[in-house]
Amino acid sequence: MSPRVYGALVGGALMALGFIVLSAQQAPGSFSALQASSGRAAYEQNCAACHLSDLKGSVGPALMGTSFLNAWGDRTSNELLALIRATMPPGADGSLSDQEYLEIIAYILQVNAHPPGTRPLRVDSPVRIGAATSPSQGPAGVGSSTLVDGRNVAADDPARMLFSGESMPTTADAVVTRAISGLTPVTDALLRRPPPEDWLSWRRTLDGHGYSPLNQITRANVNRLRLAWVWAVTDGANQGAPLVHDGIVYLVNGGNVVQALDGKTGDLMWEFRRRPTTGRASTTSQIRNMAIYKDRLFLATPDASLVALDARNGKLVWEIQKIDPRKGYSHSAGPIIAGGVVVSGIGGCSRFGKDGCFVTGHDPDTGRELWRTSTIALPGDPNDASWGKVPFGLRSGGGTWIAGSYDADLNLFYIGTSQAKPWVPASRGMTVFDAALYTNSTLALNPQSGKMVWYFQHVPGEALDLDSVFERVLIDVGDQKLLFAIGKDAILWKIDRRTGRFLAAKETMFQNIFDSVDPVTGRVRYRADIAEAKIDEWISSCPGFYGGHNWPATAYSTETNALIIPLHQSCFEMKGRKVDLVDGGGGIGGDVRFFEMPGSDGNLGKLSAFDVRTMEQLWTHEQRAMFNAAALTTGGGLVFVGDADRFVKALDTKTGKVLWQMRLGSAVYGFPITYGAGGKQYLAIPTGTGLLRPATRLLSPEIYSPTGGNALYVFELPDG
Amino acid sequence: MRSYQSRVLPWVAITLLLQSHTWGQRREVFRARLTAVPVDTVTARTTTGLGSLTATLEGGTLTFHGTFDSMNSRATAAHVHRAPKGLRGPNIFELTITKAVSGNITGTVKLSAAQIADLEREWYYVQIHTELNTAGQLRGWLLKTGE
Repeated sequence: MSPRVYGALVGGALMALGFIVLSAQQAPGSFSALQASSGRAAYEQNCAACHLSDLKGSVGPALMGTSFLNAWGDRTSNELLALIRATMPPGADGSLSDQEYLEIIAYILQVNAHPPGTRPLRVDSPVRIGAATSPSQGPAGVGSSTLVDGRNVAADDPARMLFSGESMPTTADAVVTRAISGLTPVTDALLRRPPPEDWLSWRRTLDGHGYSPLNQITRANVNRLRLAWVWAVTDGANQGAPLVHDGIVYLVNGGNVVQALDGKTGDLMWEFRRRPTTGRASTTSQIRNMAIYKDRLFLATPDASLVALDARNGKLVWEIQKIDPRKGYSHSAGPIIAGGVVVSGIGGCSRFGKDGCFVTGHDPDTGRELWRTSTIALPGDPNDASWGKVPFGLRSGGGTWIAGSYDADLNLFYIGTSQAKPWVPASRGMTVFDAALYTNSTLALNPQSGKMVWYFQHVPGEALDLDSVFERVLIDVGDQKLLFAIGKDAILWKIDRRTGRFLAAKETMFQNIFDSVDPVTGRVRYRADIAEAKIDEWISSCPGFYGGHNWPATAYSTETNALIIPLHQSCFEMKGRKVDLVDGGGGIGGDVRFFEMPGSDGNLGKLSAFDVRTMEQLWTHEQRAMFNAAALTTGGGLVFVGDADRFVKALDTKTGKVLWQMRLGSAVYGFPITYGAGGKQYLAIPTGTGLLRPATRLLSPEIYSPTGGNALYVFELPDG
Repeated sequence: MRSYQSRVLPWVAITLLLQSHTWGQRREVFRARLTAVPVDTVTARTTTGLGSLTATLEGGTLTFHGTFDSMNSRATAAHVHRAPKGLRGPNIFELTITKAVSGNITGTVKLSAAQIADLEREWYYVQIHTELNTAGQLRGWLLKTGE
């Protein structure tokens, strides 16, 4: 027998065997009830934060129902195992045992109407995921609810008490080692013009500059920086922006943990830990920022609550639940203080329902909700028709998952909104010509009333999950009051922030999404195949899903009149799924795959400076590793940034030349800051992991970012 | 209208002829970096490899020289496809490739004026097909080098 014939026979036999095994496992009972029960617990711990307890999806895709089965029905449990082992939980992929992953899959099969049997699901006995039909309405015990104050609240949900105004359960612990005495109250005036040593808002000032005037660390001495202290941050996604006031560093960790640390020594002053009210695992959900006002810190939690702490001792002052998180709502960004009001967005608005999506204003003393402004045009709104024929209950998206900015002179709060959901217009029963206001827009709100003063929609009818949700940078040039925004499509927008009038747009890297951007109106025109994309059709886009630009925020250099912007050079293909057009349906509804950006020479990371007057690029620094951190500019003529290859770098703001770099324990991840304490300038660099880690693994596999290593590294110059 | 066409068309023809002559004379170098076709986390593991390729245009003839290595599956073919950067398009030319996980790519093709224009606007990409990834494993656009 020739090798070729032998090989063919063996191959045929293996294929037949595989068919028999697969066929056999499609019979009822391909996993055990005990396995699915264990899987439910593991799912709640590791998956529910993004996919929700009912598996209908939120930040993560649905794992049940039409959307899921359309994508996975013809695939096997082993293919799902390979995917989740390689990617889940976010930032800690492969951290569970195969047994645990299989238990989670067994639970997913059960929810998708596979009946349990006596034998557990195993790798050598894969199951076709779509073998069963008519998925259940969700896991037993999930979803039963009653109306309280017009909102759906489960009878056994602690949120019921919050919605109905009853007293709240104690859900928090605080450890106080040294209470902070003599804290200077943070006033509106202080927020507007912070002392040079302080970092009082997520981008230091409410105009979103990410700039500190501190100038002890300069171009000349930056190479002398040394480690002062380091602090370990809780496990999970880490993407925090520390605050600094009176020499105290306030640090937000994933999992609703906040610490106050002595900025000079790293000594703990107090620690606050809050248990989620709904049992949702939250360590996989990053919290990007907090706000500080008077003597209080304000924290927005992944389970859709808003919490006020006493900044002196970490004690809980008040907490309110903004909306039922089991419907997918969550926070990954905190509030800011605008005109004496705690203004907070919300994310996870991806499922259909009548709760919509919104921004809220709160009384800083009590948490009382002062106003709620919808980011989706409602019936009666002048822009109701921008949703085409889609009724209100099937309009989703418009999340605000990055904190905003504030202009005290104009008394306007600015925030970006994400795109409509599901990602592809055909999936949501729309076209790109249905603008879907007020998604993918800049909104200008009065912070006392919530009234929308103006809006500017960057990409009407957005079709590729290319959010325009990120930071809004407010800059005055002469008598011009400007607002700059940049989205995943990497187009930098210049807007008149008094009126919302379009002024200019600049392509900051190669893009093939839009055929044109009108230089007068800013109106974009999609490439024809994007505009005409149907469900189940792969569409290509550069830049892609990871941006262009993403949450690593821009900084402003006052010295060079330049915005310095972290960018990513990668592309992707997206395919929209069919979703259930019913209450609770929707979700993100798409599949994605990635490729290197042509012409990037494999350089995923790009840090570029653009003149705010001319919009011309002044310099660019490209490198293999992605920039996973916001830019920080200083009075010392430096811009600090960090990357997936664990380097923190200082570049000259005039030239982009790298003047200093140091390799840390994990990827630089989050929002670097600088502050002063005891007459000395410190540089604080967060490290760890998060949702950009899969991009690094896919597009630069030779760069390995550890799955842990969450920390805050603090650097200083040597004395003398 | 007829009068306008009779006056303009000869000049268009002469311009194209002169341009064609210019294209025929000059030497221009294009390069492609060959990396994975669009992948997700799972398919990325079975879509490995890296390559580079130089295409030199001289006298209207485009000559290819390239290498590739570290693929997880043996090459079966290499094609030049026509599409703008980042998009997919049809196969236009066949190249010669080593039928292995590492090796060389070579080829010579005579280009028409229209094809030279496509090359100039960077509308060609080279794609390696393999036994495992029959629809394509590595690809890269031919981009101007200024050489």
